Amino acid sequence: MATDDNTYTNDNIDTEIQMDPNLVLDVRGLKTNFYTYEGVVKALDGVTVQVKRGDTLALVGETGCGKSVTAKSIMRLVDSPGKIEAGEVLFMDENEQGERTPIDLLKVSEDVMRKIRGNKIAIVFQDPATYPNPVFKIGDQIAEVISLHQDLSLEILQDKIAEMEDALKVAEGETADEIASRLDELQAQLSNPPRPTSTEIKNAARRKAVEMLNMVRMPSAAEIANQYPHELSGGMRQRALIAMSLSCNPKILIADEATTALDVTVQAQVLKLLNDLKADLDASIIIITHDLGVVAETCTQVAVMYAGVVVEYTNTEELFSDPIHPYTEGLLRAIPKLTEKVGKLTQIMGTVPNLINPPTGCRFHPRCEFATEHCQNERPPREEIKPGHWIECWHPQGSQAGRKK
Amino acid sequence: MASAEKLIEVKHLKKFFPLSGGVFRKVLGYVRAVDDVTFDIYKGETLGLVGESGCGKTTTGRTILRLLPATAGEILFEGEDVTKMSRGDLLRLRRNMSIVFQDPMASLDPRLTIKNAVGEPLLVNGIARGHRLRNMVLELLEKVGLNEDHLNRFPHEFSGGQRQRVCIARALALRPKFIVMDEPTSSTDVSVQAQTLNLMKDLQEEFDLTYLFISHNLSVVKHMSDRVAVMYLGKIVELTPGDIFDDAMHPYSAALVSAVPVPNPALRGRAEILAGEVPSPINPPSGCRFHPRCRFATEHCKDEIPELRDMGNGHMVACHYAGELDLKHKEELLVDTGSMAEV
Repeated sequence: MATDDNTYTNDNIDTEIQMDPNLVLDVRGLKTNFYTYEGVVKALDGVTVQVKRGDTLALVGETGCGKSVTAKSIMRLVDSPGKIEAGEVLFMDENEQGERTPIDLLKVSEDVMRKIRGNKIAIVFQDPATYPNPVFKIGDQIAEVISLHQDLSLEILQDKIAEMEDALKVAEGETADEIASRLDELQAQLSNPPRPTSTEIKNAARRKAVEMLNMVRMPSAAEIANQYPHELSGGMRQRALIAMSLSCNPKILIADEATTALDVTVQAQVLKLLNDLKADLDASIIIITHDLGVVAETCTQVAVMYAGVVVEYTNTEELFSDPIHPYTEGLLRAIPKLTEKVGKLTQIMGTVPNLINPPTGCRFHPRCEFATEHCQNERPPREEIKPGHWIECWHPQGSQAGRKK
Repeated sequence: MASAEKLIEVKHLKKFFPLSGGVFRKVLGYVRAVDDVTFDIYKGETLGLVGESGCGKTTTGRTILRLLPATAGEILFEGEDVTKMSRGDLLRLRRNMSIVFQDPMASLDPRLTIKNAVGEPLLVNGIARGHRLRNMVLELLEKVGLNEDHLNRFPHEFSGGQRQRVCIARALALRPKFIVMDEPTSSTDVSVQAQTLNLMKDLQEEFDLTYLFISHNLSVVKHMSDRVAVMYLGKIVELTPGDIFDDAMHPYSAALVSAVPVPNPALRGRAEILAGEVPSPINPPSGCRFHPRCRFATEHCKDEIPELRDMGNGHMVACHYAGELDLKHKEELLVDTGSMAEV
């Protein structure tokens, strides 16, 4: 693996990376700080989370809890004044021969990272109005991603052969013999295709872009590819962005509040699309959201974040049937529900803390009704309290209530 | 709770925004934001108004307060027509009605302290000055859970939830009878949203307020409202006295309810996926405006606009086939009421 100079300091660069082969992403103890004029914002304080192959992981939490920073740290897109301070982001890389080697994304060079970003790990951002570039056509933007990341020479050659075969059937212009001999020549190149010209790449990428738009169930994809972003509605723009991020067959797709700006009926369409595509593409998805409804609807695993810490991590059914961390429990009680009517909502007192001076010990303790002095003084360790159910809390609730003092 | 006395009657309200273009700014067409809407708001109730973006819910709220002039129709506030009032009458009337906007940061002047922002309506209306004003403002702030320390601070020093409390305090300053809540919690987090919603319910009881609660979030509307009106493309398609979520009779309301993600994994995949998106209100579809997306649509729906009909109990539905359709989400919702009880 290429491990040349980079800003992410570490001392064990040559040691073999150990990673569970079922995982595609293993984030361990990730710490990210932002150095602002007011002080150091400790945005992530030891985030640990795993994504198995084929999983849909939800990162859920309120504003400022570090969901998006986690995603940006995984992609190494944290801009100054932000800095990734510690931790590991292990990614199971797979080459064309199907060999799988784990790499630490925080230690590889920027060149390697650029090949992974958008190609193996793709991201869809929140606001579909700002992300597609307004001055380029939708199809060209998707084609750009494809031609940058993918080797299209084999496909171009195959297209040429198909073209020749069509010409043979019609038998116009050149004689059939000429065409047949050219066809043989081209077929001989199949094992080692020649470098295509830039026009050929452009056309092939363009064709593929239309295919991608079709895949995200875009009505009349060929016309849409010729339109500018402002001509599309919000839901269609979001589909175009999803098409763009899926165009390189990424192993992981990160959807950062991808449906937040959409209306509910359109949101339902996009969520269904993501679920369908995951099955087709053998990719894993990370959904970042503040909406527990979206989590229940689409995800298999959930990590609940609070003030830069993953306080609870388990599978979706378990989280909703047996929430153990007091914050998760409070959050579930605080949402008005469509299916029942209550007089008053149970509220969590206070507000999210300022992360320049985060609370000592457990970061949730000032708002927690179960908090004791112990919570103030010492941060609870991350532990597996039930099989597959991880929490950081001194006073677990739910089925584990009273298990610890 | 709600009485039978009507506080506000909206009759055939229309609000069109002209679209102009060309050299002479000629009017080329109209955005039919609100197109022939009729409903009443009873004293002491909360009427919820839901719909997707661009359906005209905010325009309706603002037109009722005459923040926007109505194109046609009548709005009666305690029997007086708001649309035809003189300026003096309007000023007197405006003390009785107020509004809380969606974005609390944008609706507070960044250069006014909280004391001045909340005290302004009192000062303008000549109700109090000086020390008395300060005490009245303080009393209002205490009602919404803020205290004396906050008096001289500026909006940027507050969190989103606190700012929304300041806006609520300001809306309450003149002791209005009626408040339009325009997406008051759409920019706040879940835990803060619960605090704000509880506060609004408490205040409603304490001051005997009537709310028009506008939101795109169906769960929030259900929690807050006594009756719910569903809007689609400038029209009310359904107005129910009970629970829209148990007895939606319009295909659009039913699809809207089913599309809301419910925090219960057992209910996955219940959404009825509507094809396409909301059409433009500049050229709304003919007949029933929902017909191009409706799975039950017939030729009749294309030709004739359905009227809002009373289906019994004050449950109004604008659908030619109301009551005859099999809206499949019904039984599913009955199932989940049971399984959600413990969560």
